[in-house]
Amino acid sequence: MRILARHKGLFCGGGLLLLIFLGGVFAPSIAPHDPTVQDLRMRMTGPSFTYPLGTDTLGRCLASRILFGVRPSIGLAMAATCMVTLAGIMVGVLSAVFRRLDMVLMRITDCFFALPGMVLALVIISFTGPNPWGILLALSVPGWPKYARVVRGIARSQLAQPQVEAVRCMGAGPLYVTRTCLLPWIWPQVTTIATLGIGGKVATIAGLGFLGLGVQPPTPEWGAIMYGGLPVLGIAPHISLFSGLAIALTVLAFTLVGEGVHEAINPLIGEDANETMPD
Amino acid sequence: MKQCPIKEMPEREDEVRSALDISALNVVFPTKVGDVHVARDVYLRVGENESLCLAGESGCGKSVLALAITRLLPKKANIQGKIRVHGVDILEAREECVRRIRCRQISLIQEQPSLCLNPVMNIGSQVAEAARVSLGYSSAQAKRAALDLLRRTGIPEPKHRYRLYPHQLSGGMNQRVMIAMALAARPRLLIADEPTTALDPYIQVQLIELLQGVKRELGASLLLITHDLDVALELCTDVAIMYAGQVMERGKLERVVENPRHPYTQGLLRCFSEEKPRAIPGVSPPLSDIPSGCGFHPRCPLARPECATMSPIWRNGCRCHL
Amino acid sequence: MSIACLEVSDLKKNYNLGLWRKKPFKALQNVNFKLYPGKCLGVAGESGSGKTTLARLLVGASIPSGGNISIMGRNIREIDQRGRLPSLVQMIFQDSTGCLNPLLKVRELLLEPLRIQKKKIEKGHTLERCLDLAMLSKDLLERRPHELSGGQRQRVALARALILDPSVLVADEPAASLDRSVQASLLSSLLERKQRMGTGIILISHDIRLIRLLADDIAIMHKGRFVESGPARKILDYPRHPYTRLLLSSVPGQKRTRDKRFVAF
Repeated sequence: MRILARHKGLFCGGGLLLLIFLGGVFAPSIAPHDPTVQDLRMRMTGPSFTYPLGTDTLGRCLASRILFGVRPSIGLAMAATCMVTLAGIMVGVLSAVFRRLDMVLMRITDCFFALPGMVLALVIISFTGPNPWGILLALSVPGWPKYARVVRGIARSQLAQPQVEAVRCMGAGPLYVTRTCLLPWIWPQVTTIATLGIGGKVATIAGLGFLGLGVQPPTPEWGAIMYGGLPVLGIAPHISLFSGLAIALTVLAFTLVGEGVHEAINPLIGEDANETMPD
Repeated sequence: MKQCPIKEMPEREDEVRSALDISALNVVFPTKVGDVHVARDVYLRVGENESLCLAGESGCGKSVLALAITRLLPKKANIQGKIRVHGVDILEAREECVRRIRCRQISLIQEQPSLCLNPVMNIGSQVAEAARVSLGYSSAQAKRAALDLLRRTGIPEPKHRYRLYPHQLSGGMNQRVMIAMALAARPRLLIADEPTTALDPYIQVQLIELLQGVKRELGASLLLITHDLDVALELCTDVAIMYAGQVMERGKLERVVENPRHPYTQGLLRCFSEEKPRAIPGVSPPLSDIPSGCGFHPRCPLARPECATMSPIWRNGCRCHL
Repeated sequence: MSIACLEVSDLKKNYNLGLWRKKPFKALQNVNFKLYPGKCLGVAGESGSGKTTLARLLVGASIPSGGNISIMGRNIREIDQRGRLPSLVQMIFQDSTGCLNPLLKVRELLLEPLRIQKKKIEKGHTLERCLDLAMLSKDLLERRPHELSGGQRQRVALARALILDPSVLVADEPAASLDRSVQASLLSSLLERKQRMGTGIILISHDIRLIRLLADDIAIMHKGRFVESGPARKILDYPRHPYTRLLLSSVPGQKRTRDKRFVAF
């Protein structure tokens, strides 16, 4: 309990995230209505008893759409993050362990770094079309260079440690070295960056949805909902408001968790040693 | 130098004569695992122009004493007893007074000089800074003083090396720079904490000669903290052997080396003096877990039943039941 | 007559330094010696004389620029680096903290060499053997490296080096930052190993006081060359090369002790 009290951000963010997750997972059970069912008589009504958050321009229940929207938004963000993390770690470790590959891999990474993320995403979507795989690709491709660079940096500094030489003297190959000497030091950093990055990816998905290039209707997606609510901002502000709030809260939750994880892990790494007494 | 207020003046005439006088010192650190007694009932005295070696293994509490004397221990440390530097009670004095004493009268030389020097300032500026802070010199005076100090500590081509950074010099050179900084204030008490450890013996010999020269020139007293008695033999006349936070034996260095009274001292001197290396069985206890009675009894070949229960009293220059 | 467990002839190592890697630097030149089982060669010299370069070459961590290294009669280049070589020659590093993985417990660290070499580990027996080699008590098994003292860490490193039963042990400044009494116990372990198991030991140190106690032969190293080498007693009592004489006289405390007995803490 004491630990949780010290990391208030982690606690709050984690709690929020848990709620959002549960909402998404149990959407079919808790959503008041089917998100795709339209009731044209009840278009753009404000929050009421039957429709907790009101309805959108086509009379669909906003609350249900937002709840069902958790899956595409966060699901895609997390899948993309996993891909990016794995790709980044692989490239980073390979360049650090095999010096001859280093040159080649790093130049490729630099190329990807140079291309602006959103533009690249749009280009990719234009090729693949606005389907979930396309979005996944569009999110992953601009993201991995950052991880690769960070992982390479950590791996190189770890490889210079005497413990690597000691273990190689015993006959350890690159796989063993990677497993025992590199990965344990890469995980904390990468987890921190990844958790912070998910929030950004949620925002990007929403952005793509906003531009109409993301998840297509009728699948509910927060960005698309927000986009749909813009023309009627004057009469029915709740559509854009609630969807925008959902996006903001999710990004906030992920950011809090990410920063909390960062704080929690770093002091632990330093705190690992018992308080050493001066001689 | 401004005088310290009357109440901090030495009480007795003969106390002025000793450069350092520690009596009944107890230092306790409160930690998560309980109270750790880092120093217990320590009595030490270094007279004017004398030199004392405080010898002991790592973890026996000797570096804590160096910090206690300069009142640089963390605030949570519980210190009891008296530490007098040139007659002034360090523990009772005001912060300002202590700072002045730290500046002008005591200088601390530590091990691992490369870590103690500022890596982003060239060595000349660091020595000049020491001169400026302790003696109030102007920049130009400080620079001249720094060049002079570098030359006196045996650094070749001081004008050229003034501009070098610590990482460009070897460990031995860096230690000379530290000594130059320590000399800047012309201190009357030099505390050297493992100044020659981890350096080649060849460099150690040179540094020892340097310290001997410095001591002679300044007429200063020296408190040498080390685990290497060979170095002590060259520099000091007296020795105090520490184990587990307590002083176990004290006396003239030559006497202790030739006729050690405490079993610990005997064991240590036997380590390399015979054909085969002979270690003292066991390991020295961590300060958080000191055995009851005499701290050394678990490893003592002459231990008797009372050694485990009763703390031995000081007798005949040695703290032992025998 | 036994064959030399380690034979080095005309060993050379050059580096290219400088920004464009054009400045040649001769780290080792013309190093020759033979090491027989159960004997110890002490290599003495200042920092920067090439001692660590020699150590790394002997263990196979570095590739020589010229010359030959033979272990148990076989050229080091023909021995499988990852499989056979570790069981022939092992090294104790100077930096005991750095060479132990800080995330592993002592129990895992002691068994690590066996795991890497994929040797059989019998549950209780092997660990007991490791603890015996390291002369550590059971209660230290669950600790991590930073929770041990310098001497204990070096003992773990020693156990790790010895568990594979190497024929040659290279000790690179094994006692550098340790207290004298801990140095003494480490040295007696090495001495026992040498005498009981017939392991050939190369003791590299800048401290002649340690070499004197263990070495049967001594080689003095200066700027990458052996300036003088021979039986220990001969080198210590009748040094010929001026650098050897300088090294032997630059030992603190020597002036004040009688009959050259080194008083050490």
